[in-house]
Amino acid sequence: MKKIILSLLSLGLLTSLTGCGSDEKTTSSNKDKVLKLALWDANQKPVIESMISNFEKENPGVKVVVEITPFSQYWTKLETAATGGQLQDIFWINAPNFTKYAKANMILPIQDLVDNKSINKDSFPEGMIKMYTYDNKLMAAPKDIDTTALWYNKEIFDSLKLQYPNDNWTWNDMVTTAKEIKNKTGNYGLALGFAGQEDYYEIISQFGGRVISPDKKTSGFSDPNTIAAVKEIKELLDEKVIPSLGEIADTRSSDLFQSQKVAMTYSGSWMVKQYMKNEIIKDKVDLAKLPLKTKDAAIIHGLGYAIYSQTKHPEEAKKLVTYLSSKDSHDTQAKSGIVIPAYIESQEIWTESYPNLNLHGYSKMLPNGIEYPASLNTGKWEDVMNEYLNKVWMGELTPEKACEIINEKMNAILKEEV
Amino acid sequence: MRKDKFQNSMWAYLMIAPLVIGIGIFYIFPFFQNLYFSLTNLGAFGQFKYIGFKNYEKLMYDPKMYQALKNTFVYVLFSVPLGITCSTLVATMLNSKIKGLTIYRVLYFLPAVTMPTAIAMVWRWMYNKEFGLLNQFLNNFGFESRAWLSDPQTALYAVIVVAIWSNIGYNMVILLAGLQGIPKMYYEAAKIDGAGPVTCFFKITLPLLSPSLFFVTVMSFINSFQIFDLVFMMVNRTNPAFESSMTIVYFFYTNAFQMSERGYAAAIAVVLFIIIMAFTWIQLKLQKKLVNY
Repeated sequence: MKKIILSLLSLGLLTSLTGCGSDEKTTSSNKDKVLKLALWDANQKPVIESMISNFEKENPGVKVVVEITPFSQYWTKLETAATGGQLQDIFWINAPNFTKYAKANMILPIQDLVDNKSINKDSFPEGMIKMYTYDNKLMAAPKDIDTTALWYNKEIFDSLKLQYPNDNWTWNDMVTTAKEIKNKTGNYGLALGFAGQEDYYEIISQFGGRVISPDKKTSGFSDPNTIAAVKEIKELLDEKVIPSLGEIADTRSSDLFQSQKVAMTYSGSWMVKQYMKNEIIKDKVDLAKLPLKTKDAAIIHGLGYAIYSQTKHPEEAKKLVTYLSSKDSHDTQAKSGIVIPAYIESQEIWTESYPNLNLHGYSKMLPNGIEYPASLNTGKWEDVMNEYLNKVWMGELTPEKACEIINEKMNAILKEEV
Repeated sequence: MRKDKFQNSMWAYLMIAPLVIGIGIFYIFPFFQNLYFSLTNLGAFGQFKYIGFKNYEKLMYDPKMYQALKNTFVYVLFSVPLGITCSTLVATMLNSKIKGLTIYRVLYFLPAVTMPTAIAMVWRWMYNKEFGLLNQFLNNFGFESRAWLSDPQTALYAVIVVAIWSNIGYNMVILLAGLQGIPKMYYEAAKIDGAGPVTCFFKITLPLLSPSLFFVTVMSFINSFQIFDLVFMMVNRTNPAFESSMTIVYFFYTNAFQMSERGYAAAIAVVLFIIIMAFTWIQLKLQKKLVNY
């Protein structure tokens, strides 16, 4: 009997303890409608939070919580959450994953916002609107644009009395300069990241090739220009002009650039903030547009804000997305210099956000942009492409053979998508 | 009398209920669910269709599965014996009377309570070709710097070293408990008979430690077959050493979470389950021959 009383007592104690805990929580979240916003870039958190606090002031009763997941785990987490019906109310979406989420009905269409002029389609580049349109409905509000430029370290160029890269540079200028730097200093002149966008996607485009056909139905790896680009990169590797795949896997190209072990590198516009935060290099670096090969081209990609189709607060979520795609928000984004705003009129503000940088190196490429290669199952063929291109970079396969295999396997995957 | 018995057993069931319910929901139910999913084409966002044994058929002809199996076996073959030898040595040393004993015990146990991700980050830094401590140290002896984690020939072994190091602490605590359970009088008697420390170790310590050693071995085998976090953190997808260090669970992860081929991934998990079960069964059979009680 004594035991029973004791255990009952302790049970009562436990429930009273947990009771206290839950009471506290409900008071703060009872009235407010909470919107969760999922994103992956911690660098952008301060800007986004400042925009959100403005939104919260204008819309009392709505609270927005920002949830950051690093990019490498973002899609895994998002997909798991979506499967369990627990997706965040609003989330960042990118081109490779867009069709997958749109097709699975995970995204709430926001065409009504376009129709009632809350979002002005013409304020954004046509390509971005196209990228996020599915079934003739706009599914995500354009947030920002990213593209690639050639960054260089002025100090290294000065010490060797070399001419800085400029907007009239050609591919050959870059390669000869890189070789010269390597010969004189022993350090690499140029580094590529082997990640796709920022490196071989750009080079394939500059050579006039394609990763995927514009209608997304066939692979671009049978295109002689694509094969020529892969061959050229392999040659750079063979001549040890650029660090090997192994060296880059060990230390990323952007880290090599920041530690001044390499004089030039291709970097996406999202790296501007990172480089400018680095006290050691921030006054020593600048950028130019990508050097010209066959044609001026760069992969253009951009993020969008998508709303979860099953969100409990669709009206509030739409309000927030409208607010985030307004000119004011894009101006705030532009001033911070973190990303190129998708809003065309705000882009000029962005190019002046860092007066000591030639940010036109990025914006000049926007008119020549090539849509980021993506389809329904982007991840599947990307995996095949990476596997076989890695074999080329490692010297296990010839570029011709690898491109042939990629072409065949990629076409098979793309065929299944229809 | 009967009523009393019933009351007692009721209390017992009530007390173990939270655990049993927890295990049922989070282990046993998912286990059977996984078995079923391995017969479906479960993809992204949870839609699926029953497809019979097609996943297993595909698995049989997938060269990546064999590569993953090979890597995992290399990993197990190195990390289990070496790990146990090291832990036994450390445990024996920490069982003697030396100055600062508790400090050493804490130091050796620290990796066991550190997050694997943190361990992986630190070791990645140490292995780095440009800035790593290990290469700086080797340079002093005239060796050239190597990219340990992105060289297909060294990556898996580099990870094995870290795994052994991080497991020493956990194994050590169990072995230490085993060592302290050995009565001192055996050693005293042996000393009188003229046995040295080496003879004592092999004739007294080892046999009497065998129950703890057996437990540690079984657990190490199971844990090693399931290795994922360290490899995942240290060798990423674009690393040229990826293929030569990808383990079964890593292979499972890429299929389940990167390619959204969940049904196929479920089949991989079932195969891994069968392998681990077979190994544990063999060990339990061997137990009767090798373990002294």
